[in-house]
Amino acid sequence: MENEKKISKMKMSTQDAVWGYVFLSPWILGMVFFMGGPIIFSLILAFCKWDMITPINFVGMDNFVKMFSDMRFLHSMYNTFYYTIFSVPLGIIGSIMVALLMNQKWKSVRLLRTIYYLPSVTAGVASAIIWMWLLNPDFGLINYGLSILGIKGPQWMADEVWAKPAFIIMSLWGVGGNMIIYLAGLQGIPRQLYEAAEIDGAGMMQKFRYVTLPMLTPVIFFNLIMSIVWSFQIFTQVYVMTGGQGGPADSTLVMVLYIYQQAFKFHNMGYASAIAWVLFIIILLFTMLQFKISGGWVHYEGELKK
Amino acid sequence: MRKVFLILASVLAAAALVFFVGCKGGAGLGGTTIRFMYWGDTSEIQIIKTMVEKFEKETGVKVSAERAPSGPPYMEKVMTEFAGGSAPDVLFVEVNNFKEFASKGVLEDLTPYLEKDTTMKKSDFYDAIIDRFTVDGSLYVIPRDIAPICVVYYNKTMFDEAGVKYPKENWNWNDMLKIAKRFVKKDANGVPTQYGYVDDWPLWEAFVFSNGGAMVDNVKHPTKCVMDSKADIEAIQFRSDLINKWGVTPSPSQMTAMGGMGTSDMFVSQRVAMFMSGIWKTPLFRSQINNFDWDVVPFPRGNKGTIAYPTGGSGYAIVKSSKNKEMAWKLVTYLAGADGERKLAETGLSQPAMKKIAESDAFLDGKKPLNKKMLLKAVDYVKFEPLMPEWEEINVSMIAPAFDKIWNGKDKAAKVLKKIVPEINENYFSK
Repeated sequence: MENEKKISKMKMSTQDAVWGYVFLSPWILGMVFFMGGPIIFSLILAFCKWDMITPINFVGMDNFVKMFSDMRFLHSMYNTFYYTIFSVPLGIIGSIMVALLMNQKWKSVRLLRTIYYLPSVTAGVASAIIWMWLLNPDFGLINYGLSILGIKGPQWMADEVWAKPAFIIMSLWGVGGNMIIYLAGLQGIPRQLYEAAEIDGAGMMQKFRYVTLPMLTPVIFFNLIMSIVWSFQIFTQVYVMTGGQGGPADSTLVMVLYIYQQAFKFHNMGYASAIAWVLFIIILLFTMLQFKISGGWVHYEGELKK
Repeated sequence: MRKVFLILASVLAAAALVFFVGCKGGAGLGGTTIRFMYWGDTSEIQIIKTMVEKFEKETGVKVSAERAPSGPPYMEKVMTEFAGGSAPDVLFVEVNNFKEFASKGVLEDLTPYLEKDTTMKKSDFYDAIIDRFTVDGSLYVIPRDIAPICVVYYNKTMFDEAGVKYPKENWNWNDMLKIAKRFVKKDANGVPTQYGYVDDWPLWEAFVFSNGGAMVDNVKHPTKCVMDSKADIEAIQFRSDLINKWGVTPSPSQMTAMGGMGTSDMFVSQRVAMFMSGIWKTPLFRSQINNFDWDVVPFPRGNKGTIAYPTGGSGYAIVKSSKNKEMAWKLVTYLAGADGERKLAETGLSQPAMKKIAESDAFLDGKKPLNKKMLLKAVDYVKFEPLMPEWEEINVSMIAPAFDKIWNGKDKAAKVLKKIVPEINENYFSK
C-alpha cells in the first residue's frame, strides 16, 4: 500500500515534468531551429574572415587580437559600461520609488499604474522619436523645464559630453516595466510582518528598512540581473537617434551598435561575430558574479540561514 | 501518458514541417523566373513596374522584382542574399556601393553583351559613368543615370527681396560666402533664424574636389589616403568656417535645434537662401514650393578656379551566379534602355546616363529649375569615391567621428587631418 502510493506519486511528478516540457516546447523548438544554427555559425565565424560574398577564411585568433588595438571597439566598451553603471542603479532606485508610490491606497492609483506602465509597451522606435523631441535643445520639454528653474539646458544629443547622459535619462522612461514586478513583490509581503514591526515600535523608515527592503531583495536581485543584461545590449534608441552612426564623435557608439556597423555596414562578419561573443562572455561573467555575491544580501523567505 | 507523447510528437512534427517548408520557399523560385532587386521612390517604382510588365509580355519570362529601402537597408538585404547563396539575377547598383562588389568577382562582365547588343552601345552613355563602372577593362554595370552633386538651389524671391544679384555660373567660394552673409538673420537673443547656405548633408567632398584636393592617390587602385594635403585641409577648414567663423551655415547642433527639420525643409520654408544637393530634389521642390521662385546654379569653383564635383548615379548589373544570363541581359536593356530612361527623365528625378536623352526635351522640359541644362556640362567634371570596399568603413569609423568635432568648432581641420590620415594609412593601406 505504502509502496504503491510512492509509485503513483513518482508518476505524477514525471507527468508534471512532461507537461512542463510540452508548454516550454515552443521556446525550446524556436531556440533550436531558428537560433541554434546562427549561434553555432557565429561561433565558427568568430575565428574567420568573411565579407558575405567571397568564401570564408579561417584566421584563428586574429579577430580577438585585433580588438585590443581597435580604439573604436575599446571606446564602444567604455560607452557601454558608462551607460550601464549609471542607468542600472538609477533604474532600480527609480522603479522601487515608483512602485512604493503606486502601492498606496489612492483613488486613482490603478489609472496611474497604467500610465506608468504605458512606456513599456510603446515600440522602441516610437519612444526614441518622442525623446528626440523632448531632448530638443531649443524647444524640447526638458530644456524648457530647466529654463523655468533658470538653468540653460545643454545641447543633449548634439553635444558629445551630454549625449550619453541623455540616453541614461531616457532609460528611466522604462521604469514602469520593472515597477510592475516590484509592485507584485510589495503586495506579496505578509501584513503580519508589518504588524509585528509596529508592535515593536518601528516607524515608517524602520519598517521600510527592516521589512520591506529585505523582503524585496529577491525581486531586486532578479531585476538587477535582467537590467544589466539589457543595458549591455542597448541598441534601438541609439540606432534611431544617431542614424546608426553613434555620434556625435562616437560618444554614443555602444557595443551592439559597433557590432551592427562591423557586420552590416563594413561587412566584417567574422570580426562582428567575435565581438558579439565577447559581449556574451562579459554579460555571462557579470551574471555569474552577481549570483556569487547574492548570498550576502538576498533574503529568501523559507530559506534556512546557515 | 500516451496522450502527452502524442501531443509532443505532433508539436515536433508541425515545427519540422514549418521549418522545412520555410527552407524550400527561397530556393524553389529559380527556373524561369528572373529575380531583380532595386530601390526607388514611388515614381521610380511605377516606371520599373511598367518596364518589367512590358518585358514579361514580350518575352513570356516572369520577373520577380524585389524592392528594399535605399541606402544601408538595401545593401543589408543584398549582402544577406549573397551570403545565403540566393543572390538575385539582376541588381540595381549605385556608383558608391559599387565598390562593395567591384573587386569581389561576383558581377558578370557585361562588355561582350553590350558589344553584341543592337539596342544600345557604349558611346551612348556619358564617359564618366562608364569609366566608373569599368574595372581593368571590364564593364560591370549598365548605367541608368548620373547625378553630379553640384546643384545649388537658390531662392530667387529671397535674392530679389534682399537686393542680391543671382549667382553666376563662374562664381567661386568667396563669391558664395559674400552672398551667403547677406542672408543671415538673428533674433533678439542672437539665435540665428535664417542662413545663407546649407548642404544636404556634410558634403565636404564637394569642397575638397573643387579645391584640387583628393581622398586617395588613385581612385581605382588606391594605395594611400592623401587627405592631409594642403588643399584638403583648406577645403575642410573652409566648410567649418562657413559654420563656425561666418555663421552662414547651421552647425550640426543648430540643425538638431531645428527639431528634426531636414536641410531641404529649411530651403522649402525659406530659412536658407541656398541649398546644395543633386538634381533628385526637383520633384520634391516642384510639389512643395509654391510661394517663391527658385532656380539652380552649379556649385562654385574653388578660389583657384578648379571645377570638380562629387557625384551619384546608378545602373544595372548581372550577378555571375545567375542561371539565366541571356534573359537577365534582356531585362537590363529594357530597364536601362532609352524608353525607361526617357520616362525617368520626365519625372525630373534624375539625369539620364544616355547623352541623347539627357539632351532631349524629356530632361530639358522647360519646367523649374530652368537652368537644369548646366548639368550637361557638369558631368564632365565629376569625381568618384575611392573604389575600395573598405572606404565605407574608413568613412564611418575614422572620418565622420573626427569631422563631427570640426563641424562643431571644437577642432581645426589641420589638427584633425594630420592625426587621422596617418592612422588611416596604417590601418587600411599598410598591406
